[in-house]
Amino acid sequence: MNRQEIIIHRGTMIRTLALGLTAVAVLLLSFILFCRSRQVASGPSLSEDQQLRERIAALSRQEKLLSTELTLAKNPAPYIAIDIAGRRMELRVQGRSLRSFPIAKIKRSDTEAFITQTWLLMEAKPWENPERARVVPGSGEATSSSIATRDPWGPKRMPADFDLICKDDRALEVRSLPSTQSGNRFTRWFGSGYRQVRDWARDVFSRRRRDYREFIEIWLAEEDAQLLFWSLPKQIPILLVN
Amino acid sequence: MSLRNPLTTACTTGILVAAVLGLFLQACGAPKPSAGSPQKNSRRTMTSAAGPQAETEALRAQARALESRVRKLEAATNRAYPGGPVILVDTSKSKIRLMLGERVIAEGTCSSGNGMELSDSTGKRSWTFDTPRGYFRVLSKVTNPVWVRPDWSYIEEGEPIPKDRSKRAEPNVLGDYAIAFGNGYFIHGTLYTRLLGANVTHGCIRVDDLTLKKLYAAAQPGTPIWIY
Repeated sequence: MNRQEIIIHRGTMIRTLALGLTAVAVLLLSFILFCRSRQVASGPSLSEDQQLRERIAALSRQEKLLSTELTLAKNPAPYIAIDIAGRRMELRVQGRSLRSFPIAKIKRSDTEAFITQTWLLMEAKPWENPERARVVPGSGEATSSSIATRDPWGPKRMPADFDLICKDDRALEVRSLPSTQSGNRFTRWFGSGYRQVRDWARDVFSRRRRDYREFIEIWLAEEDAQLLFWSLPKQIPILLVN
Repeated sequence: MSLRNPLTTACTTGILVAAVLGLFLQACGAPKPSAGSPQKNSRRTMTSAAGPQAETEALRAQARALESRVRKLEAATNRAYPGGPVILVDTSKSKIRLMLGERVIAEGTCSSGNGMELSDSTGKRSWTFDTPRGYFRVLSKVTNPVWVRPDWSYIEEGEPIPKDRSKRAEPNVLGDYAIAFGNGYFIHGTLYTRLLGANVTHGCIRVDDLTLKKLYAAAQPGTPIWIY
C-alpha cells in the first residue's frame, strides 16, 4: 500500500466513523422527541397529579392552621398549640414558642374529623394539689425566705397528672409517664405500666369522663407535665391541630 | 463523499432510515390541537373535557394560589409578634430576658414567688405568694421606688397594721428602679442578691441591679411582659 492509498483509506475511515456517530445521534434524538410527544399527548403522569393533590391537601391544612393561629396570635395572651399528628405541644405567644413538650401518647374521645379546634381552659384540676408551706404570722420574712430556700417552690413540686377543664364540657387530661432520666429501662417500663393501669382504674371508678362531651388524654414525661402545670395562666386558649 | 465503499453506503442508509423513522414517530405521537387546550382555557374545572392536562394545570394553579395564601398568613403571623422590646420571664429557670425581635438584649437571674400561704389571725384573709403567669404590660416605671408595705407584710412580721398610709412607706428596699405590671406586682431590685435564682419573693420579680437598669432603660409603658 503506497502513501496515497493510506491517506485515502484513513479519510474513508474518518468519514465512516463520523457518519456512524451522526446516525446514532439522530436515532437518539428521534427517540427523545417520540417520548416527549407521547408524554405531551397523554398529559403528565398520574403520579404528578397525585403529588399535586397531596401538596394541596398539606397546604390546605397549613392554611387552616395558620388562619386559626393568626386569630390567636393577634391577641398577646399566650396559648397552647397541640399538634395531634405531630405529637407536640407548645406554649406559644404571637406565633413564637415559649416551651415545647413532646407527646408520648394521645387518646381521643371522638373520631370526628377536624383540622383545627380551639378550646378555652377554665380550670386546671390536679389529682393532688401541690403542698404549699404556710407562713406562721409573726415569723418574719427572713424565716419565710429560709424555708423557701430549703424547700424551693418550683416545677418539681407541681402535680404531674391533672385535668384541664375547658369550656363547653371539654377536657384535656394530662397524664405523666416516668421521666426519661429516671431509673433504668425496666423501672421506667414498669412505672409506665403502673401509671396507665392507675389511670384506667381511676377512670373506671370515678366515671368522670361521663361529664365531658369531649376529651383528649395526653401523656407527657413527668417533668414536662409538671412544667406545663407550672407555666399555665388561669385561662388559656388551646389550639388543637389534627 | 464516495458511495463506493460499502460501509459508507450502509451508514448513509442508516441515517436516512433513522431520520424517516424519527419523523414518523414524531408525526404519530404529536398532540392534536384541541379547542380546550389548557393554554387557551386554563380556568376550566378539573372535570373539564379538556382532559388530564387541563386537570393538572388546574391543580398546579390551585397549589400556587394556596402557597401564596400560606406565605401571606405566615408573614402575618410573624408580624403579630412585636418588633419592639419585650420582657420574657422564665420562672422555672429563674431567668429574665429583654428581647428585641429574636435578639437577646439583656439576660439576668431573677427570683419569683415562693408559693407560700399566709392567713391573718382571724383566718378571714389569706394570701398566696405566687407570681402570676401570662401576658402583662409595663404600666409605669419608677426611679428610687418607695415600697408601701401591704397588710400581709405586717402580719408576716407580727407587727400592728398602721392605719396611716404614710407610715407604710419604706424606701431603699426595692433597688434603684421598679417597673409596675399590675395588681401591685413589680419587677424591682433587691438588697438580698445572694437569694437571686431562688423563688423567695411574695409575687414580685426581683432582678440584679445591672439587668434592672437595662430593663428600665428599654421598657416603656405598654412594653409586653410574658411570664411563664
